[in-house]
Amino acid sequence: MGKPETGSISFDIEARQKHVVGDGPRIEAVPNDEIDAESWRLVNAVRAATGAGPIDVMPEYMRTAVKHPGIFRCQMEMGTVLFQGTIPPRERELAILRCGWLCRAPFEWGEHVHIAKRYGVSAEEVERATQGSSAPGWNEHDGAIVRGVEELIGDQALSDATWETLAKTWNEQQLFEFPMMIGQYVATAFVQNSVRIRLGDGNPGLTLR
Amino acid sequence: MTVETSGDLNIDKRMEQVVGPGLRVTPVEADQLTEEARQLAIKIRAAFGIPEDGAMPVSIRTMLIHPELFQAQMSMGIVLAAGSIPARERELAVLRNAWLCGAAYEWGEHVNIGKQRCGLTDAEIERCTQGSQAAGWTEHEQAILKGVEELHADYALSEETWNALAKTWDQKQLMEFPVLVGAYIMTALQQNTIRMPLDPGNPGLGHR
Repeated sequence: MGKPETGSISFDIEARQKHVVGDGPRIEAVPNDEIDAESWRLVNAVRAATGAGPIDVMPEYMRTAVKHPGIFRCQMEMGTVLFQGTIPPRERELAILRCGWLCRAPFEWGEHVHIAKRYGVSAEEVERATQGSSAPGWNEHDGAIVRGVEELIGDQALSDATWETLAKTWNEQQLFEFPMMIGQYVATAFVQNSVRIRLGDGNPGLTLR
Repeated sequence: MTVETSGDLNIDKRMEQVVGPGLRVTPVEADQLTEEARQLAIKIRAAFGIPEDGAMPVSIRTMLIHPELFQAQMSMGIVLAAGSIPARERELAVLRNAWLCGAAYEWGEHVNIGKQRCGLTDAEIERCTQGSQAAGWTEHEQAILKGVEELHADYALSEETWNALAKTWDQKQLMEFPVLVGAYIMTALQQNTIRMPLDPGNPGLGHR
């Protein structure tokens, strides 16, 4: 509590990835051809919500999560609700990037660099997300979003100053959605880091920009 | 990684920050609820065994600001409440999480749940404020608390803690654990941010 990280955090990327990706998952995934139809439906629904097309090879981390069907269903539903949520996609992805970085979550970071760019986050802004709200170049609203993530992760609360700045642009529904969205992405980082989800093609983890 | 294990939270200061100033958002008025929202609230209260007598609590009317999120959050809560991790162990994890989040509403709520439904003792509740290094935990309980502390400090579980938990828990329980802690962080962030008012019987962080 009480310690928002507003700048660059320094850590050894290789050592981190060795710890949270390492030699492979602690829990084995279900083979692709053994995944049930309902799980396919849930996955393709959340993909549609992110603007991506359906797939026929399910990512390994989802094929692991299906081992707990109730949780898998809820995670997919929450993901879909948030992707179709009231916070504009570009702002959402900015927030998720800062969250993934502060959680030092290679899989989440890398996935969302790709998604963020689809929604108009520039390469420069991706780099700036690693430097935090104190980095120069943010406009007032974007800076408050990044600062808000830092406060939620570091202090589990939002300061009056950050709330008031966000409230200049966001309505009550968006303000309400923000901490829950960050909670969801912290939870996702927890799972992926703890299970040691393997990085896939196109996702080298925390070095991706 | 510095894992926070001590119990030196300034309760008054934190309560003033996350409850004191009052709700930051406007709860939906009972007569402004859509029929869909009303049915959702009834369903959720039934699922959690909350008697449907009279006025809808302000906490639920606040969460109905965003009905889709409310539904998704409650669905996860219901799955976790019926989950693979035994209830007592779940409450230990939720309590330690609430304490580390300085989450007044969540802490007080789960002191009540822990004592009334899972048989947690006063001593165990107090130990949740002190953490994994307090004397008196079994090896497994210590690993649960340590796991919560590691997720907070490092967003991951150490080899040592994973292996310790795996002595007792199966794969499903091991997968459920980070999801559980994450879900209760989400709730803590929500409640602390909007400054959810405390219900009667929940004095917040001072509750034991």
